[in-house]
Amino acid sequence: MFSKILIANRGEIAVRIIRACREMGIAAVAVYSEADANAPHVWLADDAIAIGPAEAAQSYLNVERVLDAARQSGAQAIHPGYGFLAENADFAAACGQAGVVFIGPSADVIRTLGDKSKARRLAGQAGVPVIPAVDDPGTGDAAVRDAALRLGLPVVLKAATGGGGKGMRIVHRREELETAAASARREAVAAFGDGALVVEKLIDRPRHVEVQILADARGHVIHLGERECSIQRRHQKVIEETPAPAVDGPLRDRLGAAAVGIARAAGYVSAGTVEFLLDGSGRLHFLEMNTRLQVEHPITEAVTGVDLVCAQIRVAAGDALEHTQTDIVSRGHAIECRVYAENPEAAFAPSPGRVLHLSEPSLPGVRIDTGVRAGQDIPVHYDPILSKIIAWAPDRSSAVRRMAEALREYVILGCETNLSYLRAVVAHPEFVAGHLFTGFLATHMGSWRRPAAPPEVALIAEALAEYTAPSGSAGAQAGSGDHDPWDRLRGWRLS
Amino acid sequence: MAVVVTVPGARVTIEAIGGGVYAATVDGRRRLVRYAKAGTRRFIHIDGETYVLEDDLPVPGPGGTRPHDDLRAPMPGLVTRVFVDEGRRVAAGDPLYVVEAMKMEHVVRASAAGLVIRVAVQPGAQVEGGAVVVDVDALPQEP
Repeated sequence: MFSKILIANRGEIAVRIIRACREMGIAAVAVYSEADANAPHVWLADDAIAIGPAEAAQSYLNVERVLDAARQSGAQAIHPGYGFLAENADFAAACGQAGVVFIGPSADVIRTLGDKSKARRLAGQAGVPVIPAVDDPGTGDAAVRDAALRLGLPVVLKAATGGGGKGMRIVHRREELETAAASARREAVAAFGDGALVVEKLIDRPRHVEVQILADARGHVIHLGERECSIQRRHQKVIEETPAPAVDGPLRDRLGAAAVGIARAAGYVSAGTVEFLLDGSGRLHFLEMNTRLQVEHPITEAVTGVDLVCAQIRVAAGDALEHTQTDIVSRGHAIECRVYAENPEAAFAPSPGRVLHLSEPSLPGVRIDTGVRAGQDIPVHYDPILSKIIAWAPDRSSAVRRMAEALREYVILGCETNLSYLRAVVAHPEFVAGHLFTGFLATHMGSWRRPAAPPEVALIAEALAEYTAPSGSAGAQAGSGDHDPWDRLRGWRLS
Repeated sequence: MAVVVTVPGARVTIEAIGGGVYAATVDGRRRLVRYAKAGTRRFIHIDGETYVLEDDLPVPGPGGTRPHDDLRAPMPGLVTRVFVDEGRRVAAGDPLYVVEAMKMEHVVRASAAGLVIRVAVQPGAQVEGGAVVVDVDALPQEP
């Protein structure tokens, strides 16, 4: 087993991985950009190394700086988390050359599965249905348009490499195609450094269902059940749950077999996720395989009791999986809500700021994975995720109610967050009924507005503004008792 | 220490509990409140809900008109593209400019047909959330 691991990430996922290291008795080394010098992952780690300026390209995405930090610290392995370098095959290869273990699949496997057209062929070979698509429409926005028209509208344009919904556009109208292609391409270049696009036929009202797999280097592959991640905004997941409300026993077996088949065909090692779209008639379509830990991995941990990060670390060290397929028993229901610093009323625009007040819920069955603390500045440079709430309960309706209470008790002041929005989603009758599809938020929540402050709240806010106004700002005479607290109580009286 | 604050319409008793937490009493009902102020925004959490109160700061545009709030930069970030010039006619839904932040690209589109009366920022400029980048004057409806 390793004695020291470097975590090439930040935020809640770096914190979560450091905690896993600590549990396993492994020293954890954090890396950080100038914007993160006082971030929680830096203080939690046993050691922390600065790797450059705030811009991710010069710090968290800089392969040389991350590898230098690994050499400098003497770490034997690097956990990439999700995002940043997690699905970068060149980074995985560079780790190998530097004599450091990359905690994840091999560079070749990342390269193959990260190429959506190759991944699709692999799924086809494993007997798993795929979505009709044009994998190589050629360069140029006109070529993308022609490919889309050959396939028939509506279509989805996607970045050929990378995931997370970045560089993705749904196009219904012919005249939108070229603009959408150009815009998807720019976003893909910004996020992944590669502007190649693929064109896929749009599946109507699909559910996003994915399967967690674990594989070791000795040929064992198991699955840990499915997650439904249909609640998405900007093609990014916001709420995930397991088990999926629409998946019954036979379908679960088919999903599991398909995911394990693809992982085997790819020669996959480590934790990975095979994503599918489930259409209205219960047909599966392979979407892609994510060759990393998922943001939503804790809900699988909640129902199976398997620590996926520890499993990744053990497999990377050459150990066999601790569990066989029959050991995996799912118990109860788990839901995750992603808390973002964003404004749901302004098309989910990121809302950076300083966390001025923070109070986390503490309830039975609720886990908070967080990367923020009170007083911290939320940098503008990175993904706006602040934390994740994971609520477990014996059944779905109890889990939904527990999540509602956790959201009620979660207080983050100082930046806009989606907490109120999440409360409205989990209270929505269609969510409560489990009628989910990837267009859920756009269809049911498009007209959502933050509740207006009731008159009483407005009065209290006014009173608090008065109460907390800086001393002297309201016309106190200079030198006439600046330090006298009674001085700022003009117009007030004691009760 | 409880302090009564008189605001138009009511008397509110405030007790500071500490760390941004207060007890506020209005009309005999006492409630736990969390409160913080950041620039022009005030955040208040009460009964499980967070409210964001924005101090109104009207920004007059050229000719004294107020720029369309829905055309302002939706977030702080880098203006990567500006699609229009001053004097150009645009239709509802036409892209006006692109702001990029936190790796997300946000296209701001004309909310109604109109005439571009102002392009305040060029591509490459960093803007604050709410900044005026492009302003459009609505055209009278065709008869």
